[in-house]
Amino acid sequence: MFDELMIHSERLTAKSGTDVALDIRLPWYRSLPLSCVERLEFTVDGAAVPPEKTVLLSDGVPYPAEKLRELSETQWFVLDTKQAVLTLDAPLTPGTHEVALAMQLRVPYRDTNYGVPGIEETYIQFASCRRMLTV
Amino acid sequence: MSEKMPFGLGATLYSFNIDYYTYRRTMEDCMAALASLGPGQGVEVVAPMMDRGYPSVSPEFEARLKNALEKYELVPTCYSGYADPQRITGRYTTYEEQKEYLLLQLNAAKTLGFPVLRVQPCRTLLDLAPYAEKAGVKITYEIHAPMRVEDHPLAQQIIELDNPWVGFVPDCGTFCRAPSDVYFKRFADQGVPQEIADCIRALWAKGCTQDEIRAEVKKLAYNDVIALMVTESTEYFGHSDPAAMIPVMKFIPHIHGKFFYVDDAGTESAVRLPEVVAALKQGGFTGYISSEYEGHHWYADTDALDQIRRHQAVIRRCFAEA
Repeated sequence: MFDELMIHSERLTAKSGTDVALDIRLPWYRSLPLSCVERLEFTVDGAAVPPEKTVLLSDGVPYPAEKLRELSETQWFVLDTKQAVLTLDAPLTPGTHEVALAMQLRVPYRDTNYGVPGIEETYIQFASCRRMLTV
Repeated sequence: MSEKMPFGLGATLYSFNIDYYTYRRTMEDCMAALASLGPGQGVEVVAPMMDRGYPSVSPEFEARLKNALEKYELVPTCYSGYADPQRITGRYTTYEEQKEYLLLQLNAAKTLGFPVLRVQPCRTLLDLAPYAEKAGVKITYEIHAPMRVEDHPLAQQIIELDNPWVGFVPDCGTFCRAPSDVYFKRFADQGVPQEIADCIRALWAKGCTQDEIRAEVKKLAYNDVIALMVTESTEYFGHSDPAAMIPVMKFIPHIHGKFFYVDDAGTESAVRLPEVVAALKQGGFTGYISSEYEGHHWYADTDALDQIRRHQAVIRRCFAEA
């Protein structure tokens, strides 16, 4: 749902050093806590950005992608964009670059056993998006 | 003169999902659109879609919602909340955590003037009955496909509890005659072969489970898109009989009028709408039906307001004919 709208920015913004930034959205119909973002994986021109070099800004606070799972009290409001900052190996040349995003969400209310006691599994929603963005 | 319906009509703002997500309509715009269908429309909100304060209610949201309800003369009908038992990574919330989380939402529903709180099936809800009575807000489980009204264990628990403050909200996606035409069209557009669609349609009609359908489909062809088509065949379209509501109507304060597409002739290809309305009439339902347009899951371009208008027209016609 809303996969193709997940990369919100039309451009990649060059920041200091080899950092680039773009705005992304939650690909779901309702807000979820950041702890439900189980994977946040970017590739730029086909090269994967490691999780420790992927940071999400929430209310101005930078969170490395791998820390998001701890933030069960911080909601990502469904209408809000959030800025992702990626630290690349080298600065990007001016022009267009292919950015892909794969996001895996844990849907915290979809009990696969429908509330009946027994084996319960986690309901996972996977979303992916690919766009050409200009630096 | 035609007989007046003893229940009300309205919509969940979730029907406007695409308009809202893409910033074409604010919450207030959705409410104004709903009000354009005539006086006294009921309105249901999905709390974590609209309120930044979720699971509590924010003062800003309270002011906005109450202003819009008054301005557009809408009736608050159902506050859709969630237990979110898996919100903490690595573990389920404890009984006490879940209770506390739901009590915040019960209080939010009361503050905002909603008479019904809907949540998904969870472990603590039945124990909240005394709080519901004190708040004057009925607490309900949603019975959604593939659950069935007639034999879901939680529905049975609610019937046995027999407490006027605890009930359930059937989602009409569970009252289907077949998966929707828009569902089949979407997967055909994505390249799923006709024989797969035929197989799913036939097995669905026999009442097969998702696992059974998947096993048969895998003998023909399988990929990610086909896998999703199989999952959605039972997650969206259920096998409950609308008449199953009649003997348990006193436990049903509200209905999710789920639908997927009403065509120009006034036909909904999936939901057994005439039988649903006949059951509500016969059972003496007096709550609200929230039209819940969900065709946006497969097609983003259909006009949600027009779909709600058509759906409500079908309900009125079915009531007159029942």
